[in-house]
Amino acid sequence: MRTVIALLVGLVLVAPARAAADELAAGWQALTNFHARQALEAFDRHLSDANPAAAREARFGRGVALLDRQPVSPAQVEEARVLFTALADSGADDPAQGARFFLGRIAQHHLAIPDAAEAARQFRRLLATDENSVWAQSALGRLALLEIYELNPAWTPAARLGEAEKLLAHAHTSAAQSDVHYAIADAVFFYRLSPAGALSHLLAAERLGRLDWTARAEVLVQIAELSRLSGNRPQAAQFYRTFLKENPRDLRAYIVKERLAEVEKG
Amino acid sequence: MRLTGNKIGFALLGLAYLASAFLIARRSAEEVTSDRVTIRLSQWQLEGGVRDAVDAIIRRYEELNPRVHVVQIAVPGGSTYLPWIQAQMVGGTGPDLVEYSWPWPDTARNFSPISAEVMLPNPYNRGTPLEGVPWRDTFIDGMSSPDNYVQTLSQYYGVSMTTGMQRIVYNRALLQTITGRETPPRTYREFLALCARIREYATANRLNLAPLACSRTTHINLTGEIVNDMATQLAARIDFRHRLKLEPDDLGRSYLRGEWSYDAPELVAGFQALKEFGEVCTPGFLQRERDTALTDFVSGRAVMVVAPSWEATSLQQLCPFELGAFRYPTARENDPVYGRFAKGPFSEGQVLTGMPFYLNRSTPHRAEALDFLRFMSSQEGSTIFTNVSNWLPIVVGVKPSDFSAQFQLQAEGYSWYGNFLGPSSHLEPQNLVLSVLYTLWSPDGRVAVFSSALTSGMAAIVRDGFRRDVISGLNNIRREDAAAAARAEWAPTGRRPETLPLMTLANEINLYQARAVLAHP
Repeated sequence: MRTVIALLVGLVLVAPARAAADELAAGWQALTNFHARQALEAFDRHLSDANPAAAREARFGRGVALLDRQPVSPAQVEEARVLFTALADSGADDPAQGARFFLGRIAQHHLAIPDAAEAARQFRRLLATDENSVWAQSALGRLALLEIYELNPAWTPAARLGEAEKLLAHAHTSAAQSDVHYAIADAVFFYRLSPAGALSHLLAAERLGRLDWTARAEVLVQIAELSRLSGNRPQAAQFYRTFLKENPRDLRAYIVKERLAEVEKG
Repeated sequence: MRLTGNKIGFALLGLAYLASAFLIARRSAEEVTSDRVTIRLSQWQLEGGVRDAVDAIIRRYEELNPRVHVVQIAVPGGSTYLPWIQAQMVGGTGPDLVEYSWPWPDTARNFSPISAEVMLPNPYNRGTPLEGVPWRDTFIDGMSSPDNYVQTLSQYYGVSMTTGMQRIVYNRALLQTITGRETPPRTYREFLALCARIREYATANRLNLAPLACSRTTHINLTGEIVNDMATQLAARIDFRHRLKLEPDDLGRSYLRGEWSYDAPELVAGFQALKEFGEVCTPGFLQRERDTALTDFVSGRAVMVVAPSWEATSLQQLCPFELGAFRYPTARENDPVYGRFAKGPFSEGQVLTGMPFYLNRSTPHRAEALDFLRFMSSQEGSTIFTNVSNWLPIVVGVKPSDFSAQFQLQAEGYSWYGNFLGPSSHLEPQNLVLSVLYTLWSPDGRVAVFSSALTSGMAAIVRDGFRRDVISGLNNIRREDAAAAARAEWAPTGRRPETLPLMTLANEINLYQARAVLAHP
């Protein structure tokens, strides 16, 4: 008899928690399909859930959905910002870190006039809280872009890239490392600095294996070209060959074959 | 009872209503009682042979898969198709497979990426040399066309059916009469000499005969090719990213930064070659439509015509004479005037595939729609398409018809991808070029005036394009941020990605670089 009662009590306690988890999951699923209204309905049902963790997740979900519910108005973004601020300032759990990430993104990309300094401040606080979290690691590449293009406009490009390089010390995942290396290398070209400075970053990004297909094709050509220009013929040949093997139908195949023949002859 | 007109009218209306109700009920009953799945495909290619080709593919597919019924919905293109498809998608009644194009709106909301699927072999290629080859690599461009791999979303979306390329099509008999030979010119100088000979012949015989029929739309790709072939050395000089390739945005940014201009010697040479091209075309062609150029050619008022491959079938049907086709011979290294700028051989550029089908994100028949898409783009499906439509195939190993084979892209050679007459990935720079070409091609046209007209208008237009890019880039980032967070939160415990699947960093970099260029004129 006691077992039956325990089971019943267990069911009464667990069932609502299960239902909340399922509904919150349904909210996230709706958002993956860009159905923000549907997601909001799911999250709104649990804003005051008896389970504090479920309620925090629901508030975080509501904030994210508000950023995607069309038409997105400044008032809606502000509502999301207030929600995120409350979450981020009241804990260090996953919703708090997610909220901090989005506070950075709102300042970076959602405001009519972006606030690079505020975005960087939020991302740095995220790193200070738990730099291994998915949120902090995702913020690193974006913080690098702020360092390179927006913060400290009076600094020389080389000095800005130096600041971005410091972020590599906080990158603990291959994806984050790859992002920072790629951002620096591309900025070397953008600022028309000596291209040799990009080579080590390109090599590192390639080694990490996290580049998407199009970026990888570009990086293979860039490594080969910069290696050729710096006189490292074996490395140039190696990357020309890899490029041709992976991209036999690329528009550049003809010129790459010509360059490969040149460095092999050489 | 007396039968009045009104009564007959109402009776007919009633009968029509009953017949419609019966047909709808029968169709619904079929759907309910049968396990046969119906998938719908919409497309706007109403040119002769294409609908028949799709129908032929459907017939063969249904033989192999009796459980699936495929319905083709052909809708006129132009200004009709896009609003129609948008209304269907918003209303939740969109076809399962939709011919679409990457610059159109709401790709991510309406369509499902197929990035995972294109890395797997196409089962319909079993027993062919493409067996076991990833679906992506069974296409001649490796699915790199913008309609297949949507770069702003970093995902594969569309599966194309064909490609197009233009050639100079000529009247063999007329060429024989005028020159005593049927073979086309092999070099730029031979081409100019041929045109001069045609002019002499027309004058001597008092004929209304032009060397080359052209129109305000058909010259466009050729115009770009003529200029870009002269500019390969300039392209190599401004390849600051060391990619051996200039993206349209690279060209636009470096133009705004003053790193090249329309006074560059290579471009001036290209404009001079372009002027010479205009001089051999039908007088007034900039004001004439495509069908006027075809009429000139078909009726013997021009020896040659600039023709894209999709006209090939029509020309064969219309012309009472035998046709030949050749690639426009731009000047090469040994040319006495342009040789110092030319560095060939010249590739005709990237294979750009077209007629792409996208998978409806909300289709209830995802598996069946994907399966049909695989069949359409298999060697067998593509062979059926090519044989019936006479359009160029894009599946590796599928042979075009003898005539359309002359239109196949010649990819071997130098190409820097970007078009100096269209810096940035917008249409407006090209529209500016089109609007000032008269300064080059009118009887008193001059290269310097054309170059100056481009210079005075281009920067503002490129800037406008970048401003729009920044806005759309921000919208993409915002939308993908929310979806990325949702994907991470929705992932099962322990299977969360190490970083969020945000918009790629390369796309976000584009946004910052565009802003930086806009901020510093």
